[in-house]
Amino acid sequence: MAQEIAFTLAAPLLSSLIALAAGRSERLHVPIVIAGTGITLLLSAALLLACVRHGVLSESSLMAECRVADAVVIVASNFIAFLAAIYNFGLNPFGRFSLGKYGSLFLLLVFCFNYMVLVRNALALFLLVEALIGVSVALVAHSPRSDAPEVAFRYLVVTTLSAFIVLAGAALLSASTGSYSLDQHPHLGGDGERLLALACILFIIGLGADIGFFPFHGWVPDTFPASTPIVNVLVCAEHAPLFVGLYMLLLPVRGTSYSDTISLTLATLGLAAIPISYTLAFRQRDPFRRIGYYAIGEYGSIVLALGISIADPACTPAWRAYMLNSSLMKAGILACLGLAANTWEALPRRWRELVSLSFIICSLSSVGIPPLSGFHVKLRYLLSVYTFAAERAGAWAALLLLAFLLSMTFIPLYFLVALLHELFLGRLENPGEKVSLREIAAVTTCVALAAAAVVLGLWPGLIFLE
Amino acid sequence: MEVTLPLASAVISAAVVLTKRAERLPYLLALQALIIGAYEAYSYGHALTFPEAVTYLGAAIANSVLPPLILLKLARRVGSPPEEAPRTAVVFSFGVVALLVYLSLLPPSKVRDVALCALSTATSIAIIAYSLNPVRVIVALNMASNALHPLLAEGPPIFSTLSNLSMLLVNGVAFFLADQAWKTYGESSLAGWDRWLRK
Repeated sequence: MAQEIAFTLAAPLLSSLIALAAGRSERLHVPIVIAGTGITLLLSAALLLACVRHGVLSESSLMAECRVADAVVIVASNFIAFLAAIYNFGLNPFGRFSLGKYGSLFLLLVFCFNYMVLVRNALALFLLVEALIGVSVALVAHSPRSDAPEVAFRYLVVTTLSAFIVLAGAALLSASTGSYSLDQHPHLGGDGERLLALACILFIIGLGADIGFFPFHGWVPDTFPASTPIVNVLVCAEHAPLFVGLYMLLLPVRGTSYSDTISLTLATLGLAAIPISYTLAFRQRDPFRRIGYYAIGEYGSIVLALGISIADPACTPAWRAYMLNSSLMKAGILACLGLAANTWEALPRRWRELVSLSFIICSLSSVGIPPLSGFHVKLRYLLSVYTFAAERAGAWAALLLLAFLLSMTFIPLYFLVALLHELFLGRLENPGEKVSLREIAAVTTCVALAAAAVVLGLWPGLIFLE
Repeated sequence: MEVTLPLASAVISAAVVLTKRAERLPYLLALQALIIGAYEAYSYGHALTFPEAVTYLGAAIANSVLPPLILLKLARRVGSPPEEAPRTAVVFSFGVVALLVYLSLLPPSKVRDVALCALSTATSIAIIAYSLNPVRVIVALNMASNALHPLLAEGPPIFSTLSNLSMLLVNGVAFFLADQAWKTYGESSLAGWDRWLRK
């Protein structure tokens, strides 16, 4: 029995129950959430070490399996969740729910996304998607803003329907392969392959609407401004597991005659998303809506890389590393924006400069400037795109595609610099005098995510661990 | 799979389209959940051990009773005016029933079962698309979930139990959201919420 898997799943689930039992007490809420996410991070690191030592860990009673690459995703997501818990201490955690329920939902989300990376059964994945939706929507609804109930209701309806589409896809997968397991089936034959391809299309639509990638992104730009800054940072941790879930669901099609069709469908969706969402981001006045559209563009790049890795397994590390870096840097950008929008007035000048520097580092890493982590992942990602396009459409077409993707980088660079001037550098005057422990905690979150960009830039092997 | 199940789901969804008052909708939801829960209990039959049977039946009964009760409470609290369905929705819902009758004549296969279940959710999705009443939208979501439930009967019973529990969570969140929206905006319709925010 792989105890590491069981412990990684049990820790957030138990802490969630403890948080619920602790009730409304603010004194208990913060330590429970920090300890719950911290212990889960440590256990996920132990899981990674065990995977490095043994290769593959599996736990049949939980329908779970873990490879090194899965463990890396879990560690990165838990790192974001842990920092979100520290950020939660730094900012005001109060909202529409009592602190007990809110803390419980916070930790339940951690359980759901950890399990989503490990599970190897389509029906179990559907159940996790359904649970994850309920928890994410409740966390968005926690925000005291007046638009939160309307936005969260829309989010709930769209994502619940999309979970049903995932269930229909799982049923088709079972009809074509005879089981709900997510193994590859290269010798299915005509009808079986057609059904499997249809199941994959349903998975793309279903999980696409849950993640919010183009063209299923309608609810995404509204949820960023409506949620609390803490939830915005925490939700960044769930995107990589959701993409891993989609990858696992699409894996059975690899090696069949529809592999290229699914791959090209994803690549086309990704390519269309990038210019559309960046252009829409450019037109937004609200910084959080702008980042919302920027996130949709980033999902576009991830979907493009996912499509390529479905066709060519050698490109999977590039896709995974791009996705992890994107989640980490988006969390950093949103943490800095949350501070600028909430506790900026209380921060002394030096602390404001520190947050501004963190925003600069996360933004530059996100667009792929050397020597930060984003540079390495973008380089591998562009190389994968080039190889994929050159094999199918020739070297010139591949070069044109690269030029297009590189030129697209300048749009987010421009509006991130504009945000830097507008929200950070333009507001360095009239600083507060003293800084409390809470503000130190909130700034630490931003600094830690920026430090991750530097560390992973210096040792890129960590993010490409396979 | 028993073809009468998707048919029953589609007929009850058509009844939701024809029902004007939101307070009556939870009763229709309870009826659909009971029919599907009873079928699942019958199909699992003797395969369940005693603890499994207790857990499964507990979750199935909870799914037939709790969401309708939650929604009844919401409908009474929000007190929305009667809502008439557009004529196209009425025609569509009966078209779905007719198509289901036709599909049920096809020889049994797994693909046909998936198609029947998917089609029986079509009216619920149409309700979500046209309705401006939050109670009706949540009832339609539950009906779509229940209509797809027979697909879960392929897996171990724990999946069905967990799905019921996660739908309970979704219902709890939906109740909370609709209640909060009503308190914040003072409106019981989705269009009213939107109008309030635009102001």
